[in-house]
Amino acid sequence: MSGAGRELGRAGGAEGDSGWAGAGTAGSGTGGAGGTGGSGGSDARGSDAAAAGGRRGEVVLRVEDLRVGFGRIGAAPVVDGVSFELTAGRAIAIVGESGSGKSVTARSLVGLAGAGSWQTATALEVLGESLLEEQPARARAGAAGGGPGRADAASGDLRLGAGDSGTGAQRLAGRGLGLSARAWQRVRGRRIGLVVQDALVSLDPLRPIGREIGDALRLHTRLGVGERHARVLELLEAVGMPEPEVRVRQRSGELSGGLRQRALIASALAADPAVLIADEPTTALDSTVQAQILDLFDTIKARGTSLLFISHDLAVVSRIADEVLVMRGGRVVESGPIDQVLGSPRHDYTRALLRAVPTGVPRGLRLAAPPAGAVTAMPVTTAEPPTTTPVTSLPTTTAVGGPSAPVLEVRGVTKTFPVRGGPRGGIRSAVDDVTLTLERGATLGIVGESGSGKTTLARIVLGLTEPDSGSVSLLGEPWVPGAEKLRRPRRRLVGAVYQDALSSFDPRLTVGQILADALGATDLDGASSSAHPSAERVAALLADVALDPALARVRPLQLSGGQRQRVSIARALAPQPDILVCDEPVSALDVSVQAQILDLLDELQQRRDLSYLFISHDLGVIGHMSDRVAVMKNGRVLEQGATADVFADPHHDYTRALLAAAPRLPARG
Amino acid sequence: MSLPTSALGAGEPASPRGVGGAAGDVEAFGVGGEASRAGGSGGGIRGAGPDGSGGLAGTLGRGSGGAGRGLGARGPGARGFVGRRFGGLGALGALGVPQWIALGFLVLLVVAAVVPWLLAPGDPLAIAPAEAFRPPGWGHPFGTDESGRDIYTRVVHGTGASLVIGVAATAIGVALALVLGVAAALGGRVVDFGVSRFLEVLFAFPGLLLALLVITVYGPGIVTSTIAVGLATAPGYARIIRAQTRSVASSAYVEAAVVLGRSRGRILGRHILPNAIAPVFVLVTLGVGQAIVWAAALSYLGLGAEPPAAEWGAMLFAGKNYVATAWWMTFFPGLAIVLSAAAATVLGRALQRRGPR
Repeated sequence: MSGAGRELGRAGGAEGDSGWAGAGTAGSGTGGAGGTGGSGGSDARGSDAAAAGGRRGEVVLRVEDLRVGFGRIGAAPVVDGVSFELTAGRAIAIVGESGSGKSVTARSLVGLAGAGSWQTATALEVLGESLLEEQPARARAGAAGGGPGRADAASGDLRLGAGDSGTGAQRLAGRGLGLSARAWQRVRGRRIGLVVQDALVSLDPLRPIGREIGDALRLHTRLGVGERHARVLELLEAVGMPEPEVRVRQRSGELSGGLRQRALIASALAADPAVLIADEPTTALDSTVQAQILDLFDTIKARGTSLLFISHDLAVVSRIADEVLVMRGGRVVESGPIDQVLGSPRHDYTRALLRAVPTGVPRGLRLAAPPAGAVTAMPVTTAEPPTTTPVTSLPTTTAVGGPSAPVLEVRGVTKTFPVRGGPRGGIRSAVDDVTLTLERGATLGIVGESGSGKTTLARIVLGLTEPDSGSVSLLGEPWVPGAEKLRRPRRRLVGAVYQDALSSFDPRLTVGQILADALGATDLDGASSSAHPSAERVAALLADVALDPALARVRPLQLSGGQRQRVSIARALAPQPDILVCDEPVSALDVSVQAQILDLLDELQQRRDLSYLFISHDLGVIGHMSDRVAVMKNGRVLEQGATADVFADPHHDYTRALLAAAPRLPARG
Repeated sequence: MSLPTSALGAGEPASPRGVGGAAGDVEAFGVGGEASRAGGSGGGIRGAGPDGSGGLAGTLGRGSGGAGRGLGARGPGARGFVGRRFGGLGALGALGVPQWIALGFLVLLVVAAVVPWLLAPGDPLAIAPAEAFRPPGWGHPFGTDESGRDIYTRVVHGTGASLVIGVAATAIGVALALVLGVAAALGGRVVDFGVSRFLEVLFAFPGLLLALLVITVYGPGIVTSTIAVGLATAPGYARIIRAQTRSVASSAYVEAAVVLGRSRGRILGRHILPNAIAPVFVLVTLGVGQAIVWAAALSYLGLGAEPPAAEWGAMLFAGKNYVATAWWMTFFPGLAIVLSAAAATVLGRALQRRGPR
């Protein structure tokens, strides 16, 4: 379909005050790998949903039996038979965990699936025009015969239950997505806009955002320089950018995360596409900013642009989508109207995903189903609330006459940093007069957005940053400030679990060596020989965090995110600490893995009587994990108290705003 | 990284590598080709170290041929590669034909250096005036010099001197660089300032000039020229080690070791030094080739080994008066220098390229 790309009327018919540009400049699509094979299985079309909401009816994007893979055509597809129809002014969400193929699906639609990829589909139409090759691809006997069979074998363990495509599927001849780089350029931006997660890397750091957005207009419209400038301002206004005349000259580095995302959305809307693909567009944002960006997507949808929304976060999806496709291992396991899928999920996997969301799940309840066949050192705790966990709320004042003395007391801690080159040239308070108390065996949650000072506070508590004033005492004895030499012997009492576990491991060391190190073993060879006594202790540690002892020989780079975080927890536990400082320990993980890690932390707390200082931006996680919670903003603790009290009856406006902004699932069944 | 994501353990869904890799590629394609291009060229700058101590490319360009570019590019992604370098230096599986040839030649060189009489049983200093100026042929494959000494025997026996000078000079350079670099990185602002300015002054001189300076002060000879070459290469290594040490010292895993209550000395020895030095090892391979050339150059200038000695540079010097009549007197020692430097460079490059993958 080389000569396509004429001016196509906009589907929605709204005024041309939105548009897009995004992906255009990148050139070099993956070109059509001639494809073969492909069984037309998996009926995942949202046809019922389309009927239900057929307000405008027109199908703007139709995908049928899309398969995408890397390497040999037809072999081991990472997207395996995805079909859906997107009608004008509606939003379809694809949810799934990392590796489910949701992003690859979305990116295939704009020809950006990546180098070495192949795509086939029986139908792929944007505004009624096919993006497929004119002729069926040359059928290569080897690929056609061996491909699907091999694919099944490869993904067999990932497939869920019965019911999805499979045995009786009618085999259709798939065709490759055969567009030239130029043709893709016309599809991208004009008809399909793309917004990605990390606006910082997607915008040129050296160019003002106005020029970035202007580029999109230059490529896709015939506007003159002056008109383009006016249109850019219009676009920035449309995406809710404050002071567009100022911002238009700023570079992406000068903008906050939310504003950057708005700029990216503006550039994606510049050429007025009928479909906007948003790949995890709010994942990197604070919850209040996330709420604003989701509002913006609502507005865009209301103007008639259709949305294809990719996310791992069911709560976010429930806020924006009309229909949802749940993907796992490249296949759609469940699809339908959002209320139906989230309200009464039919598939086990969807149910597991929903259950894993910690929001509103009381303290002490398991989030993940007990992992079948996992190596555990002890019986898996049951789902009943453990007795050691206070179910009723604590008094708001600090544990008057509580049975246990506080293990950690933070008194009036303040830390400022000089602001270099700022207009005010002054200092910035990272932590401002913070007083907190952590009881033995309890969890103190600290919630706040980026820049609220919660990480600086964690560093002070860990004795890594000296506060300007104030003090921290550990088990009743002074801890910070103090000489490192005096602190070192007691360091084993406080462990740390970081957000990015991988970077906290020495890249030269294996898991066994890392843990042997933490155990204080002096041998530099680590635990490679089973005869060594420390090998047993390493194995015991790994068992404590439900990991296979065989992993001791592996390097962390080869582990999954959840396994890395388990190793990180095991290392923190090695010196038998009383306190764990967990700084965003689960924010980089998929929701089901997050659930497992939270469950693990819960179990360990009960078994070892650990006290947690638990830092997170996620109210759901904090609510699930904490006995008490402190809300931080701009370095100050605005409010603290028993978690249930603070969540039920917030006293501070900011807490209320946070609670309102947190995306929530509809009432769970 | 084409590492298998093993799904052992807690039954978490490990993401298939293919997808992760693909996503990475896509980012590069992503919105705005310009952005990704900028990112690409920025890689080198970031590789040079967070302290902005200047492009490594520049540093190394001086020190050891064009090695700098490779290191600069590797910086950001150094984690995995550093880890595996230590684990699997012996893994030679990925070598191509040129690398194998280079490796074979280096093995030959080592044999010639350790047991020269195996390859050339004669005496490199034995004079036979009757045999003077024989061209290459039977009995004297590389010909003979003005005193009738066998060039082949002399080239073989000269290998030891050249290799020892090359390796020893590099070792001296790296050792000195290690002290300076680590001191600058961890010694606080005053030390850092002092060392960095000192290195900058050294950088202002061409390396060979620096070596000449040392020889002028301490007199010619093999030992002095070795030390001189070592000193001349030290600044380049020192800057790399300083930048590496700084980035490792501020890494999350060093902080994790602090939180575990490890002492400074242990953290230095266990985490900082090994991780800071690993990338330098690759450069050392390149540096040895460079040092051999420099040492030969000094000998040629009459500042290293003295003429009768069987040393490549000295042989070049001795042969230069007869270039027109007895080309073999300069050609074969020169060939030996070129080939050994080339072999070291080819291998160093191969090690370097193996890194990022």
